[in-house]
Amino acid sequence: MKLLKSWRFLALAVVCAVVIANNLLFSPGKLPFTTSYDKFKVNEMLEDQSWVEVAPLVLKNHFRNVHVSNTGVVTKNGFGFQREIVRIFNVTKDDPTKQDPIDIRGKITLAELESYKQYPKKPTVAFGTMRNDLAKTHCAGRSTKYCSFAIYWDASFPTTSASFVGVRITDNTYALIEEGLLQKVLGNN
Amino acid sequence: MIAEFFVLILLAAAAVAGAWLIGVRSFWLAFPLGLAMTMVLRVLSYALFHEAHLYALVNPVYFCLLGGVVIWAAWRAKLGERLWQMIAPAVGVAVLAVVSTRVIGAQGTPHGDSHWILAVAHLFDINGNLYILGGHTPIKRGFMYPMMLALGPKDEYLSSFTPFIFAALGAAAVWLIIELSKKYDARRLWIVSGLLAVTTFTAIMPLRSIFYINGHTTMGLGIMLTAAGVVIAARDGKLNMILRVMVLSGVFIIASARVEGIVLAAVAVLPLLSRRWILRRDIMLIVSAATIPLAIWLVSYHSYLIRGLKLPYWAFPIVLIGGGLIAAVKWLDWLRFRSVAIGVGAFAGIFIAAEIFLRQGLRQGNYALITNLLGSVDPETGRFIQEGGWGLIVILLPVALWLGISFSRGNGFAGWLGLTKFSVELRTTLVIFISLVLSSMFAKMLDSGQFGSPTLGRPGWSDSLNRMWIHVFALMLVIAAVALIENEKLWSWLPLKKSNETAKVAK
Repeated sequence: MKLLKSWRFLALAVVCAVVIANNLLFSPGKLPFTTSYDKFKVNEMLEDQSWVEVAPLVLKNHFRNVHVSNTGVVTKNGFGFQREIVRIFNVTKDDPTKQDPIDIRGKITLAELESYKQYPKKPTVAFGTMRNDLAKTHCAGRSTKYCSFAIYWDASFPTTSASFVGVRITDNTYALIEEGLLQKVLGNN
Repeated sequence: MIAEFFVLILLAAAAVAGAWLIGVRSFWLAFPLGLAMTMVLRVLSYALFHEAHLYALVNPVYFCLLGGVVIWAAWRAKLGERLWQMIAPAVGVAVLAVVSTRVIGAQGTPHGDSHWILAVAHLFDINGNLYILGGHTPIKRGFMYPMMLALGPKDEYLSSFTPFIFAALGAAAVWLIIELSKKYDARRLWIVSGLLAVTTFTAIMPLRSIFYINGHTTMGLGIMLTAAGVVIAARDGKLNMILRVMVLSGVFIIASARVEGIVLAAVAVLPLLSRRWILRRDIMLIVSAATIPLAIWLVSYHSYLIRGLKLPYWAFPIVLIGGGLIAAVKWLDWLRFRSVAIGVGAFAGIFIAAEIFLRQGLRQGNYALITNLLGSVDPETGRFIQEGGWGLIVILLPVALWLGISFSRGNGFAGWLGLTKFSVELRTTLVIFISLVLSSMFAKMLDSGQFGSPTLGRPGWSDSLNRMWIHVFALMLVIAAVALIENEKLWSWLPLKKSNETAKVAK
């Protein structure tokens, strides 16, 4: 066999076989893309994929007029409410970064708010010690780069306008809560 | 979905028709080159109408221009000329791309950069005020790619464009391999292509880049066209119309696809610009193909880079484009003729110096580079991991070169390295590839240096340097393939074709 006498070609074949075996052996075992995805509207897709910057867009997706306050500055005591996303999607004219999030640690628990949680709708990928049913947001001012995040409003009162307030629920958990709902749950406690 | 079919089929037909009009008669080149031309047209027409505040005309005029190109080519084509035979496969690729995303619902790995790009594409879609993108974050997401995604149906994005551009990158790679190996037995091409295709597509990153929403494959297409144009022009000693369009459109794409593009565009064209025979007019055109889109991009975005320079907005393009033309000045010829050695030497020097003087800071980055490209043992679990997703395909290049290396020392630097057995065009491609790799690492260190100490990234597929290898992996495969095909000793076992044997007997 002439082929067997060509050590160079045999070496190439062996290398290719090793590379293929390695690639198959150490691959995650699933394709790096999903199928049956049906969201093509940019605003729906970004919310569906729980983008870390999506908070303003979630509000825009559900309300025509939105007022937001108390998000604070992300590099200090606040959390991410990206100004450029607010402008791209024309969410609000407010500047919510002027005031820090309202500190409600110990006053309200996540369990009390659970029935009002509108975002994220589905469990998000867990990372670190974070709860896997919350999304994440930037919080560079904390000891961690990302914090847990959720948006709450009472969906049993449909409305096209709403005011949201940024709050700090635990050390590393922030939320945007509809103003009336916040007063209601605070009043109950 | 119907609108997306319409847009992508129009893009495919116009791409091939445009390339056909400048004389391209191979589908493998017509598809990627024509697509690059349509992308250049998109940026120029967008900029023109957007700056004139004629927002409503941006997309209709672009679609009319594409339709006009198809009609013009159809008008010019005579019976027997292969226009429709070339358009048909491109339209087939377009249909497949739309079916893959809109019918099968293929969706790339979700990633923050992809989301930013979609947000920017949405702004292009609604013809919003680009000045609001003047901040640091969105400007890094590129200009041309989100602009192409914005051609989708209202409020949606052109989901099939991402696999479509990957197909164009593949076609360009196939064309370059065929072009560089056409004097060899075609069976070598088939065997090598088969081996490399299987090894490549068993790794995760090449598969990921088919649907991953980011400008990397666009950048890869620009690099492939530029490298192909440069290598063949350097081989032939002339820059004809087709090669000129390849280099110009490739450089235009590189400079507008990602923010580090201007550096990569500069190093990719050095082997051409350093030639003594190149016309000064061509030097000015090539440099301007990089500076014009960058100027359009930064001015359209009202970029913080311009604000930082405290230049009037009208003055910035003049300074950038005018400054670039200095490369064609006669009294800088001594530098230009040596620019390849200087460029590669400078990047290599910076890299070595950084490794020496910043060795503490780069320790993590070096680890990330190795574990992403080759793999490492996880200290916690003791398991072998390959976080970058490239498998072991990186070793194909050194193996392909090693198999063809000459162990007898030859003349010059190439001879010292044992590369004299390889063709000049292969060595030129290799120089471009190495320059691009070094400049990518330089760009990464520069970018990370803004926010702390320079680094070479972190372990994981989503590290930006790891993703930047998407720009050059197709070029690496071309080099490996051609090095293997050219290597006579590798094919001693392959029986001569009957026609060759007959010719030998006749002799």
